[in-house]
Formats: sequence, C-alpha cells, structure tokens
Amino acid sequence: MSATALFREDMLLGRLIMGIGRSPKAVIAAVVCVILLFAAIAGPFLTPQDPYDLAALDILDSKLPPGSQNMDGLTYWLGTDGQGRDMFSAMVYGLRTSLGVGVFSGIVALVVGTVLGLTAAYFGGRIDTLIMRVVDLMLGFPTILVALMLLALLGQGLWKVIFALILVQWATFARAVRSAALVEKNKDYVEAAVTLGISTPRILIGHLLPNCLPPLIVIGMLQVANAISAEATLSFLGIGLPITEPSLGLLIANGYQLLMSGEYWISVYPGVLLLILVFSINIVGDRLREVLNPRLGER
Amino acid sequence: MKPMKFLLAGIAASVIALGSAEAADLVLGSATEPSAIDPQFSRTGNNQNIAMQVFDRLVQTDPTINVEPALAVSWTNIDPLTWHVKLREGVKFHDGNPLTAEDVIFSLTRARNIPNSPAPFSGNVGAIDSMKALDDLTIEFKTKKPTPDFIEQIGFVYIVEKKVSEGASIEDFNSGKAAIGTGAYKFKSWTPGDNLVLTRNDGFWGKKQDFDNVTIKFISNDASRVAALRSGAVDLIDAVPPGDVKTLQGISGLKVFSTASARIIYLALDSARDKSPFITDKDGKPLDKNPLKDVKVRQALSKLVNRQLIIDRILDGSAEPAGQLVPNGVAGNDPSIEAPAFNADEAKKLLADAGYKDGFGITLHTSNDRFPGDAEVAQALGQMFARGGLKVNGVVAQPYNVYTKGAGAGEFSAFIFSLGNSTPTSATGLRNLLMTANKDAGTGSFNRTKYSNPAFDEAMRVATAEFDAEKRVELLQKATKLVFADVPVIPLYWQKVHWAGKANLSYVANMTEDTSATLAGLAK
Repeated sequence: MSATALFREDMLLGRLIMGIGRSPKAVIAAVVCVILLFAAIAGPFLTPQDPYDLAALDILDSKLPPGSQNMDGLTYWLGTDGQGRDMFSAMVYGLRTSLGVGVFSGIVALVVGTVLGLTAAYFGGRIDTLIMRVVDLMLGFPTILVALMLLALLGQGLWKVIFALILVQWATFARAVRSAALVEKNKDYVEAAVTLGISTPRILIGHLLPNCLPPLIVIGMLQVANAISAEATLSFLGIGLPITEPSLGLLIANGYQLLMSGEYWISVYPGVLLLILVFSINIVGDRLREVLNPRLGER
Repeated sequence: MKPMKFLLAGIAASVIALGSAEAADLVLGSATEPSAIDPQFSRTGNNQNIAMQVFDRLVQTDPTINVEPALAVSWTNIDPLTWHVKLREGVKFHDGNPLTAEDVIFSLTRARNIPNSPAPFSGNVGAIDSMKALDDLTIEFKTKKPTPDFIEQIGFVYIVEKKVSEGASIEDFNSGKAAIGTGAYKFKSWTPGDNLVLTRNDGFWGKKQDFDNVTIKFISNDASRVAALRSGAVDLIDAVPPGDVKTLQGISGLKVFSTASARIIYLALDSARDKSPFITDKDGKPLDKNPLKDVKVRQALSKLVNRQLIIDRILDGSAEPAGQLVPNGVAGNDPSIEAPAFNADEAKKLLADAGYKDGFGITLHTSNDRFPGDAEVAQALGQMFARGGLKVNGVVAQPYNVYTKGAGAGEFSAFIFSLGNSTPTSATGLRNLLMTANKDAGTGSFNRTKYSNPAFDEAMRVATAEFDAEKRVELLQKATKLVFADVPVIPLYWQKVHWAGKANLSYVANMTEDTSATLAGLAK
C-alpha cells in the first residue's frame, strides 16, 4: 500500500478519536465498549468458574439468588441458573460468544461485501447489475427470517450461526461500498491512476477503498450491534448455539421461563448486559457517523 | 340524574352478563393443537384431546386408568377366539341418527387404513379376524389368536358414523362436515394456529355438561399460557410448567389441579449396535467398540443418575423417580423394583469391571419442547455423567419434530424420550417400547434402539395370552423384572402434570394427561 494511503488512514483514525472525545456521551459508551471487549478477551481469567464445563457445575447449586454462597465458599454475586452455573461466569462467557460471533461475522461480511461492492461499482455494466440484484434480493428478506431458514436447513452450531449472520449482512456492506465507490470512481485521482497503467486490483484496494472507508466504519460498527442482537434472537428462539455453551440470548431464554416464578436474575442480568453492549456500540456508531458525515456539521 | 341511572343500570347489566357468560362458557388454553379433526388420524395426545370431546370410544378410562364402559356396555368372552360386545341403547350421533353395530364395524375397519396417518390405530384392530352384527346393538368378534385384553385394544378406537364418514376426506372432518360424533360436545369450527370452538350436545348419553360453548385456544408458549390465565383471557390451562405451580397456588381466585402421570421419561441407550455414532474415547476420537452393549456400563450410567436431585432441582418436585415402565397404580407395576439409587462408587466399579476405568466420551441428545424441562434434564444428566468420569462431548437439544426423526433413524447414542401410558396395564407400553421390533407382529413399534431380548419377548408372549386377569398382571410383573435387570433403557421419572384454572371451576386431573372440557365443570 502506498504511503499516501497510510497517511490518510492515520488522519481518519485521529479524526475519529477526536470526534468521540468531543462528546461525553460517546466517551462513556466507548469506555464501556472497551471494558466489555477486555472482559470478553480476558474472560477465563476473570471468572471463578468455567460455566461450559459440565463437570464443574453442581445442580445442587441451581437457582440460587444473587449473593448466595456455595459449600466451597464461592459467592455467586449474580446468582446461579437452573443448572447451577454462576451467572457472572456464564455472562462473561456469554459475552465472549456474543461479541465474538458479532465481530467475526461483521468483519467477514464487511470483507465479502466490500469486495463485491467495489467490483460492482468499478466494472459497472452486467457485473454491477448481477451483483446488485442479488443484493436487492438479500435485503428484501427480513434478516431473522433468512437466518431462521438457514439454521433450520443446516442445523445448529457456532459456525453455522456465524455463516447465517454473514449471509444476511454482506449485502448491506456491498450496497454502501458501491455507492461510495461510484462517487469516487469518476474523480481525477482514479483517472490518473488508470492513465499511469496501475493494475486494476491496486486501483481498487490502494486508491478506491481508502476513500470508501468512512461509511464502512459506521455501517460496520452498527452491523456488529445488529449481529449481536440477531445472534441473541436466534439463541432465544432455541436454534442458535448449543445449550451447554449459552450465549447471552440463550441465558435470557433459559431464565425467561422462570421469570414468573420469581427467579428474575437468570433472565434480567444477561438482558441488561446485552442491552448495555448493544446500546454502547450503537452510541459509538452514531457518533462516528456524525463525525464522518460532512452534512451533519461536526468534523 | 338520568345519565347516572343509565350508567348504573349498564354496569349492573354487564355484571350480570359477565357472570352468566362465565357460568356458561369455557375458554381453555391448551399447549398443543391437533393435526387433524378426524379422530382416527393420529393417536397422539394433541389429536386425542379434541377427539374425545366430539367422539366416543367403546370404553374409556377413569382418572386412574381403569376401564369403564362408554359406547359398549358389556363385553363377554364366549370362547378364547370369540367375543360378544353389546352397545349402549339410545345413543345418537350429532345429526340425530342412532348408533348401530354397523357404525362400529365400519369404524374398526376404517381404522386399519387411514392414509398418511403418523400414529395410526391399526395396532388396536390388528387382533380382529372377523366382525359380524348379531343385531342392531350386538357384535360378534373373532380374533386371530387368544387375546385376553381385546377390549383394551379395540375399545380405544373412536367410533364415527358410517353414513357421513364413508369416503370423507381429511378436509371434510376439518371443516366440520364429517366431524359428527356421539360425544359430549359438537364440533363448530377450527381455525388452525388459533382456536377451536365446540358447543354442548344436549342429546349426549352421558353426564350433562356444564358449558354451553367451549373455546380452546392454542398457546404453545409456557409463559404466555400462564400469563393468559393470570390476566383472565382464558379460564383453564393445561401443561402448567412445574416452576409456576407454587406461584399459581398462591394467587387467590386460581386453583391448580395436579396428579402423577403414567408418562415415563427415560434415557434410551444405543445398546444393540457394534458401533455407535456419538460414542468416542476420552480424546473425542470415534470408538470402535460400543460400551453401551455391556449391561455393566448401562447399570453404571443408571447409578450415576441422581433422580431425586433432578426432580427437586429442575422439576420443582413435579415427578416420581422411576425404575420401571409404569408407576404404582397401573397394573403391571412391580413394587419390588425400586428406582436405582445414586451410587457413584458402585458405578465406577462397574465401569472398571467393564473395562472402562477411565470412562469414554458420549453426546446426549434431547428435545427442547416436548415435556417440561426436557433440555434441562439432559444437561443435568450430562453433569452427572461428567462427574462420574465420562467425557460428555455435548448435550444437543432440538425441537421435537426434528428430534423425533433423528431418534427414529438411529442417529443418536443416548437420547431422552418419553412414553405416555394410557392403558390399564403395562402390556401395551412394554410391547411397544421393549419387545423386539417386528412390524407384522405389532411389537416394538417405539423400540428406537432396536433392543432385543428373546427371554423377555417370550415372557411377554406368555403374559399377554393369559386370560386370568390376576395371573396376567403377575406375569407382566415378572417380565418387567426380567427386562429392567438388563437396563434396556434408563428409566428416569414419571412426571406429575398440572392444570390450573379459575377458582369457580373444577377439573379432573388424570393420569392419561387428557385435556378436555368434559373433565371440567363448575365447582359446586
């Protein structure tokens, strides 16, 4: 990649951080995001229990209210679920899964969508028509419906959920990249690059792509939040991840049945965590849009 | 002053209207929905619940599964192969036509071949060799071989009217055109996915019903169904989740009706094949040998299960630990067989004796919407096996309609299933679940693991051919003892079932888990 491109990225990153810094709301949300990200990465070192190891659970400790202690002196600060899982541990692991699924499927969808969007914009003509009609088709279906059908066909499992989420997300990226690239394509610097005889892939990646980044970052951020919600929905409906490895959505689903019985903590705490996670990502995403969109004034 | 008076009169009128409406109509919230209205289409509970309100059978069961007369008033054994069945006098179908021997013969013939039936009654009529109407109300049956429990077989087939059902399609029943029975309620309409409406049959031969109109609403989600009762949207619900029983009991104006059910929940083990798809060694590599073939391993697994703990912690006490097929109270239960006690040391010793000192890897499969707590129970079993030294590679929960196909196709190694028992003795359940699978003989039709035990098959053949009722039960107990010593499946528990309704209602909680307006009434 050329030095110019790197310089641009540096400028972009600086702009983003400065932009967030000027909004207290966004700063708080960004800090929360970073904390949650850290908790997800460092998960196994923070939790008193491995909630995915069936041998580590004891059904005798099931449905204990927050603050209870077990016989080994371990305190369940957020209570336990129906299997005797420490809710705090389960939530940290669930956060890992939710964030992991959301970020990973978001990134892959971004890459796939970007490649297809750039291709469509740059070559135009039939390729453009073909790709964009597929995009229209994908966007025409409700996200959850497509994911539900896919999982019904493929069966359950982590990678299948990720695959389903990639499939329902890439079109959004492709459309955004294409429209940004269409604007950039006719600018002088692209023409100059073509005249210089630079190869097509290099023009696409080295010249066009960096200039399409701002909208991509915003959409990417918001799509991660969407993917996390979608995964939670699928798990809540019972067709997402395996029941022995609950994500946040599955924890909520497990507790939902007990909500009427007064065992609120099994559902409410994971719900609150999911809310905070998605909310914070959305706030940061919104702020980034404000910063990057010249029409919204702030720069 | 005038408008005030109006208002008061209005309130008074609406209170009266509300009161009388409540007295005369019943809105029932049901967890399940029928797949068809044709009463012979499927033997599954969801279909039977509707069928038993509109149609009748020759005999029916009381709440503790004893046979009592319904359309038949007597059945006499003339010789080992001949039966005379006498029908009730004065029974009329909903269209006014009288019930005759011809209708019964037609119904029993029809049950043999219902197109696309997922759970046909064909097994119930398999023993019949020939049928003949001696007069309008008496039928002579010849059986292929001596069949002591003949009436328990043919007696549970629903009787339809020949005139309207002959050539009627499944849609004719669903629309109501052919849904003409002799039952306590007349079929009015069915809106699939939403509700089913019945009206009282004033010409019913049995007890006069308390309700003019019955609306059955289908609410499959547990929490929504409970919420519907609490908000007053429905008067009565079935399949109350065990965890909510205490809460509902504490609400004034609501009542809970409970009973132990004869439905057994068990863990099926792939014990017949040399290799099993979900058995691995400790590192997760497929194992060439199938440890589940060894009875010691099966005994060990059964001892690793702490049944009482599962019942207390997951089912909120709503179950009885099981060590055989049917609970106390159903003929064929052997009181000397106790539920295997949890004993980790003995289990470890048995595993070591069998050559699996370090255990092996196993994946458990379960449904997640068939009965209360199915997925949670499977996870708890996973915990208990893991603590016993096995490597639990996973617990996979699937929706019942997906799961049941996999279980039937032999795709799993260890899987949770249930068997509802709705006959007065254990014979039917034992025959379907544990006898060697043989389509022609009608045995082993639910024997999904293809378990085969010749000594048990023989014991069952002897038992079911015994005409002396007391002796038959003894022989069934013997067969039960013989087969459960071999751990053909791991019996877990018999669930308790709960209905809940408004305090001004009564409901007959029953072991067959029937949800029917005929069992509901106004509390006296």
